Amino acid sequence: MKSLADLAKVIRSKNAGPFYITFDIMFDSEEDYNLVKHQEILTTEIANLIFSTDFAQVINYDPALSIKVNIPRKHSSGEFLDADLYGAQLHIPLLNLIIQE
Amino acid sequence: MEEIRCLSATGQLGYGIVKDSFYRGLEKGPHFIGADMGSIDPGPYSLGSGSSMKSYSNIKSDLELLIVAGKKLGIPVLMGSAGTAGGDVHLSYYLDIVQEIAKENSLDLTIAAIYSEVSKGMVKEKLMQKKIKVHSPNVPELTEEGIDQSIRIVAQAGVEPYMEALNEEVDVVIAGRSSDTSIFASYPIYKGYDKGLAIHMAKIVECASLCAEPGGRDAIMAYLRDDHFVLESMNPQRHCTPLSVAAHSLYEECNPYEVVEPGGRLVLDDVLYEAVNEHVTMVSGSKWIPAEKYTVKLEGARLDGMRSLAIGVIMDPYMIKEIDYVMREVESIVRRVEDRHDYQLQFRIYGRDSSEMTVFIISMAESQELAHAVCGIAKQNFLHVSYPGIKATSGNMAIPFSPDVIDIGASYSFNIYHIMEVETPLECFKINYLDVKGGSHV
Repeated sequence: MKSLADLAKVIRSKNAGPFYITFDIMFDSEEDYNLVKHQEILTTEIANLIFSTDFAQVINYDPALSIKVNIPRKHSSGEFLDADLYGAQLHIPLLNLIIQE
Repeated sequence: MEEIRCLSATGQLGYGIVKDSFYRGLEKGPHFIGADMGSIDPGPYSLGSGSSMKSYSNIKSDLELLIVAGKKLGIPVLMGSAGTAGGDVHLSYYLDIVQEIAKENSLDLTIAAIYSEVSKGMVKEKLMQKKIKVHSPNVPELTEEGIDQSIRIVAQAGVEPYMEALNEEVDVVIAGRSSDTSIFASYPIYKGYDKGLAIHMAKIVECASLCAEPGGRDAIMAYLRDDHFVLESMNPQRHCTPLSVAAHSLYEECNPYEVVEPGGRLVLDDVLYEAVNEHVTMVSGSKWIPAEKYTVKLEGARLDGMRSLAIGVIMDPYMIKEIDYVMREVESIVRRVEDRHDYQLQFRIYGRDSSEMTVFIISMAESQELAHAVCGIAKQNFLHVSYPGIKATSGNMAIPFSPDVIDIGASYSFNIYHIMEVETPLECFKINYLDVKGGSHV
C-alpha cells in the first residue's frame, strides 16, 4: 500500500484568486499518473469529503501528468478569520490518500 | 520582424532582481523589457491601505535597473500593477520614484502612466445597468452599499491601454492594476503578432523563470514567432522543459485548459510543448477566442476593523491538556470584563498535538483602542487563568515579546471581485503622458 505522497512528485495548494484554493498533484511518470487517474483516487466526492465542501472540482490534465482540485475558500484571503493568506498549507489531507497497487 | 524577443526581468518587481540573469537577457537583444509589479495574492491590505507593501529601496533599485537598461538599448520598458494593488495612490508613488531615477541618472524619459482606478459612481451606474456579475458563486453580491464601503476599486487593464500608450513611442509604460498578461502581450499584439500565442507567452513569462525546472525568479526570454514561441531561462541552471512549462498552466489557476482575460479567453486544449534542447522549450497551438462583450475584472477592499495581537507559547503538559477549557474560560471572562461588546476575538492554536503549543490571540474592533483593550484582557487572563489540574500557578505561557500586545492595525477584506461589462477596452483607464527631462539638469 502506498500513499499519494509516495507516488506524486508535487502535492501543493495555492490561492487561485482570493476566493478559491487550487491543489495540484503532479507526477513524473505516466505510469504513476495513470494509476492514480484510473483508480479514481481523487474523485469529486472524495475531494468534497476531505476538504469539507460541496463544491470541489477535479480536473485531469494530461499534458503535465497532473490532477487539479479546486475548492471555494470559506474565508477570502487575508480577511480577519483567514489563517492562510496564500493558501499554501492546505494540501495536507491529500498526502495520505491510499493507493492500491 | 521575424521574431519578438520579450525579456521578463523578474517574477515581481520590488523584491530584488537576479542581476547576472537579467544582464544575460540584455545581451540577447530584447525588443522590450517587461515586469509585473503587483499581485492580489498578498491579500486585501495593499488595496485597502494604499501601501505598496515593499521597501522603497527595493522598488527603486529594481525600477532603476530596468529603466536604465531600456534607455541604453533604446527599447520600451513595460510595467504593470504598480505597488501590489495598482491603485492611483500606488501608481503615483512609483511615478515619483521613476522621476527621481531619471534625474539621478540624467535621463530624458517619455513616460505613459495608465491609471486603473474606477470611480464609485461609474461602478454604481454599471450595477444599475446590470453589467456587473460575481466572479464566482462565493463572492458576495455587489450592492450600492458595498461599493460605498470599498475604499478604492481598481479594474484590470487588458492589452488595449498599453497598445494605446505604445502608439506614442514612449520609453516607459507604467500602469496601475493590469491583467498580468497585458504587460507582456501588448507589445507583440501591437506589432501584429497572433493574440493567442502572445497572451499564452505572457501568461507564462509574467512569473519569470517559475515555469522552469527548478523554478525561480530569474529573468526569462521568450522568442515569439508567427506560429509558436520559445522559452529560455536566463539562468542556465533553470531548464524550460515541455513538462515544466505545461505544468505552469496549473499555477494559481483553476482551469489549465482555459484562461479568461479582458475581452476574451485563452484556450489551451490543442497546445503542443516540444523540447528544442534540454534547456529550451517551444510552444504552439494556443488560441484566442474573443468574447461577445468586453469585460474587465474589478477588485475592491473594505475596512473591517482594527486588530491587536498577542502571542503565547505553552509548554506545560497540564495546560496543553486543558487548552479547550482555557479558551472557553478566557472568552467568557473577557465578555464579563469588557462592557463594550462590539468586538471579535479569536484564538488560533498552532501545534495542537505536540508538546509545544502556540496561541495567537487576535482581536478586532472598530477602534484600535478597543481592539487593544480586548486583546490585553484576553492575554492577561490566558496567562493567569486557573484550570483543572493546574501545577504552575505563576503564569501559563511564555510570551516572546515586550510589548506583549501588539497593534497590527487595519483588517481589510475583498468585497469586490466582480466582472464588469464595458463599452470600450479603454473605458476604465486614463493615460497620462509625462516628459521627464533628467538630462537637462546636468
